[in-house]
Amino acid sequence: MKKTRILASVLALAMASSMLFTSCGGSDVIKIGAIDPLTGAQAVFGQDSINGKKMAVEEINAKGGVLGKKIELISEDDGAQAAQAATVATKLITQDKVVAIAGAHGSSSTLAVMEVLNKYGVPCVTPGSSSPKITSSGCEWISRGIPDDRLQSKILVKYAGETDGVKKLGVLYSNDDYGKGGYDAAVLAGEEYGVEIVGETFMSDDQNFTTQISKLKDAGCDGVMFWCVYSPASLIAKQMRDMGWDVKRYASPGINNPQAFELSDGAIDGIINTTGFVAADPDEYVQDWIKRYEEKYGIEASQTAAVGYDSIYLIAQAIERAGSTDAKKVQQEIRSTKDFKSLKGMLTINSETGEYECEVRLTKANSATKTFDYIASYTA
Amino acid sequence: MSNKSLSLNGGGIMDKMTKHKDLIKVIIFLAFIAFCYFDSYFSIVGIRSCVNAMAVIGLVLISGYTRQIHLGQMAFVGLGAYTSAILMTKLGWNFWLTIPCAIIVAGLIGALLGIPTLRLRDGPYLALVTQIFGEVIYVLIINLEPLTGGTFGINGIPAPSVGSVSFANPSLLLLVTAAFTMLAFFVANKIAKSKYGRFFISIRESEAAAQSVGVNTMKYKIIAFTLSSAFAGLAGVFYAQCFGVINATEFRWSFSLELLSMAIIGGIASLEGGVLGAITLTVALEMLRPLGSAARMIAYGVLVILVLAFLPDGIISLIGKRWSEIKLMFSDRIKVFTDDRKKKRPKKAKVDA
Amino acid sequence: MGLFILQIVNGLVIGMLYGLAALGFSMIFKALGYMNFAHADTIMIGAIVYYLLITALNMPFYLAFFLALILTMGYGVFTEKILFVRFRRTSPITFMLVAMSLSTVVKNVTLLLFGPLPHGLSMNYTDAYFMVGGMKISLNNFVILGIALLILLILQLFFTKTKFGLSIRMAQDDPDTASVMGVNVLSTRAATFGISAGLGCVAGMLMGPMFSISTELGTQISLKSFISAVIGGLGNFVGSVCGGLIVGVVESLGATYVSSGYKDVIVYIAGIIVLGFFPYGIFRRVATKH
Repeated sequence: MKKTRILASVLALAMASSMLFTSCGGSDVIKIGAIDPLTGAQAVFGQDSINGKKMAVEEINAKGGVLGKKIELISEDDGAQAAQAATVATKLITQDKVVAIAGAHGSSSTLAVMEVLNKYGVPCVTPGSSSPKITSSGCEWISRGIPDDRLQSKILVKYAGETDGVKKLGVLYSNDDYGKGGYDAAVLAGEEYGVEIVGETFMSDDQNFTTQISKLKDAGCDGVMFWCVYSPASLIAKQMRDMGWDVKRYASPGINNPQAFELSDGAIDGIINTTGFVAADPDEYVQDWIKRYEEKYGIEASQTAAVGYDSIYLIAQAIERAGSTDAKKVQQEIRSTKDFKSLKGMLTINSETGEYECEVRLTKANSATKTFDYIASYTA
Repeated sequence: MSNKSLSLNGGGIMDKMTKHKDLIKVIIFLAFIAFCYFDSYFSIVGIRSCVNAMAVIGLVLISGYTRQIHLGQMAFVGLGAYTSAILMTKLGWNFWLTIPCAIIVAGLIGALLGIPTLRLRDGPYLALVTQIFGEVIYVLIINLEPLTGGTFGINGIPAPSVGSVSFANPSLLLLVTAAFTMLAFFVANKIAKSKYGRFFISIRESEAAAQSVGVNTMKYKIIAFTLSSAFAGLAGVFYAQCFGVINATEFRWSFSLELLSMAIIGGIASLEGGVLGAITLTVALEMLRPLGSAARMIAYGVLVILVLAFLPDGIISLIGKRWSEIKLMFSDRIKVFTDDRKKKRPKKAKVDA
Repeated sequence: MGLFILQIVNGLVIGMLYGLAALGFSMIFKALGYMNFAHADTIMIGAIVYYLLITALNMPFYLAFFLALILTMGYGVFTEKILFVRFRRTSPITFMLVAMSLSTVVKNVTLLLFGPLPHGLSMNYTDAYFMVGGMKISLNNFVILGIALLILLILQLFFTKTKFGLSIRMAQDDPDTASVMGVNVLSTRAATFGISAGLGCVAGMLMGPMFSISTELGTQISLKSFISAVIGGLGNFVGSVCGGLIVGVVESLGATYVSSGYKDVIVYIAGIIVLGFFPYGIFRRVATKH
C-alpha cells in the first residue's frame, strides 16, 4: 500500500542515514572525545577549549602519536546543557568508542557526564569544571585539570582580609553552577578569616549590574569580589567605574581572559584574581605555547585554551604509560599523574579523588600592558 | 494497485480499514523502538523521542485542538521531572508511585495557571503567560536550592525497578518509556474522540460560533490546558530517568519552542502528527550533529521554515496520499508563494490621506 | 534616598531600551496581528553593525549611527520581502514559528560571521555627572534617554505629518479600507517591518556601549520587551514605551528592595497580575482616543 510504503521508506531512510553517520571507524587510531559548549551563551569558552585540544592532538600526532597510533579527536557540542552533555557523552562512548573524554566545561554538564561515566566506565578529564561537587562525588572516572573553587575562593578571601585589610567583602556572583559554587566557598572562607560576606546575585545572561553594585555600595562594603565568567565581570568593573565606586576588587579565574580588557574598557585594571594559567609566565614552555597558539589561530591565548590543551596531554601521557587503551589502566594512570609539566606548572592528580593538585597563582590585571601580572603562589 | 486499494478505502469497509490503519501506526512505532533497542545511544535517542512525543501529545490537545498558543510546555515537563526526582531522591519514594504524583502536580499547576489566563479571549495572552511561567519556574528552581539542588540540578536519580529487575539499562528503559508513550497516546486518542475532543475542535473552528451554541469555551480551554500539562508531567518523569540527571536550564522556553516546532512539523491538528513530528525532529537533530553546531542550528531553522512553507499541515499530510496528489499540493503551495503575490499586488496609486 | 533616585534613573534607562524594542514588536502586532519573535535579532544586528562600522571602518559615531540604522531597516524590509510576506495568510502560530526559525538561522549565521567573542565599545557621550545622596549619577544616562526620545519624536512626526506615515497607520488600523483607498498595503507592511527593525537597531546601538556586543545581545531583553508591549496594550505605541519604562523601574526597584535573585520573577509576576486586571494593557483609554 502506497501510504505505508511512503512512511516505511521515510523511516528506512532515517535509519540508513543514521547508520551512515555512526558506523565508521577502525582500530588504527586512538579516539579521544571532547565535549565543549560550542553553541549557546558559553560558546566562547567552548571555542577556546576546543582550539587548545585540537592543537594538542595535532602536535602529538606530528610527533608520532600515542602507542604508535594517531589520536583522533571527536568533538561534540553540549550547548552548555547538562542533558545534551549526557547525550553526547553516551554517543562518544557507545558509538565512537572513545578511550577517554576531555570535557565538559560547565560543572553541571560535567556532573551529568559523570552519571554516564559511571555507567560505562570510561576515564574523563574535565578541563573547565571547578565545582567542589565534581571531586567530592566519589566518581572514580573523573579527574580535573583546574583548581577547585573552594581553594581559589579561600585564597582570595584570605588575601583580601589579611593583606588588604578588607572587613566587609561584597560578593557578586552569577546565579549558575559556577557563581553559586564560588559564593558558597566564599561564605565558608569568610567565617574562617573573619571577613563579613555580603552576597548579591545576577542571572548569567544579565548585562546591567548597576542595581547590585549600588546595593553593595549602600551596604558599606570595602571590597568586592566577582564570581562569574569574564564577560559579566568586565561589565561589572566598567559599571562600578562609571558609578564612581573605587574599592579593592577581587575576581574568580573566570576573569582571566585577554578579552576582558576590551570589554571593560580597561576598568578591570588592578583586579586581583586567582588563576592556574598565567600568560605572562616567563617559563619557556608556556611562552613557546602562547606563540604557537597565537600563530595558529590568530587570537590571544586564554586560560580556557590552556586547560583544554593540557587535558589532552594529560590523557595522552596516561595512555602512553598504561601501554594500552584499557579503560581501567588508563584511568589508574590519569589518577597517578605526578609532576606533569602543564601550562599551569607542575600538576599532580590526587589518586583518591581525581582532584587537581598544583599551585594556584594570584595575578593582578594591568590595563596598560593588557596582561595579568603575577603576584604570588599558593598550594593547597 | 495502490489506486485500487485507495478507492476501496473510501468504500464501505471504513471501520475495518481504520482498525487496520491503527495497527499499522502501532507497528511503525514499534519498529522504531525495536531499531533503537539494540544500541545504547539509539536507545537514548529513542527515550528522548518518546519523552518529546508525550509532551507533544499534550501540546496537540491545547495548541492543535483548541488553537491556543502554548509556549511553556517544557516548564511543565520540568515540573514533572522535578516532582519525580525530588520524591525519589529526597523521600526515597518508589519510581512508579511518583508517576501519578508528577501528573497531578503538573496538571494542578496547569489548571491554576490556566484559569485566570484563559478567561482572556483574543490575543496572545496564553502565549505570554506560558512563556513567562517557564522563566518563573526556571528562576524558582535555581533559587530554591535545598529542595531542587539549585543550579547544579539533581544528580543520581535512581532507576526504576520491578522486584529485582532494574531498568537502569537504556534499552530496558526505552521499552518502559515506549509503553507509557503508547498508553499516553491511547488515552489522548480516547479524549480526542470523546465529546471533549469535539468541543475542543469547535473552539478551534470558531470560538464565537461554539459560544453561540452554548459551549462554555473557557471551561473546555481550561480542561485542554490541564490535560496538556498533565501529559507534560508524565513526560517529565521519563525525562528525569533518561540520564538520572536534571538541570533547570533544560526547561527554559527555547525548549518549549522546540516542542512546538515538533508539533507543527509533524502536524499539530492530529495526535499522530504530533508524535511523528516529535520522533522525526528528535532523530533529525541527532543526525545533524556531524554538521557542526552552528551549521546544525541553521539547517534546523531552514528545515522548519521549509516545512511550514510547503507542508502547512505537517509531514503527516503526506501520508496516505498518492504521488500525484502530493505534487499537486506542492505546486499549489509554490503558487501561493509566487504567482499569487504578483497577481494580488495592487497597482501603485497616489495616497490621499 | 540617593540609592532610590539612582535606581529610578537606572530603571528608566533600561526601561527606555525595553520600550524601544517593545514598540517595534507592538507595531508589527498591530499591523499584522502576529508576534514577530525575530524582532530581538534586530537589536543584535544593529549593535554589531554599529560596532563594526566604528571599529573596523573608523567611522565617527553619528555617521555609524545613521548608517547602521539604515542597514538594519533594510534588513527588516528584506526579511519581510523575502520571507514574512509569504506567510501573511497563515495562522498566528505558524507565523510565530517562522519568525522563531528565522531567528535561529540569523543568530547562528551571525555567530559564524562575527564569532562568539563578546566585544566592548568604549564610548561615553559625556563624562559629566552629579551627586545625589552619596551616589554618582552620570549624565550619560540622560543623553541615552534624550536620544531615545528624539527618535520617538521623529517617528511621531513621521506618522502624523507625512503622507507615507499616515498611510502606514491607516493600513495598520484597517488594511482593507486602506487598500480600497489606494494604499499599497504590501509596501506599508514592508515599511512597518523596516521601522520596527530600526527601533530595534536604536535600542541595540544605545545598549551596545553600555553592555557587551555579541550574538546574545537582545536575547535577554526580548521577553521583557514582550511583557512591556503587552502591559502597555499590544498595538498601542505610547503604551509600549510607557510599559517598557514601568518594567524597567519595577525591575530596578525590585532588585534593590526585594531580592536581586528574584528580580526577573518580580517583573514577570507583576506582568501577569497587571494582565489579570488590565487585559488590554494599562493604557487602554489612551489607545482608543488616538
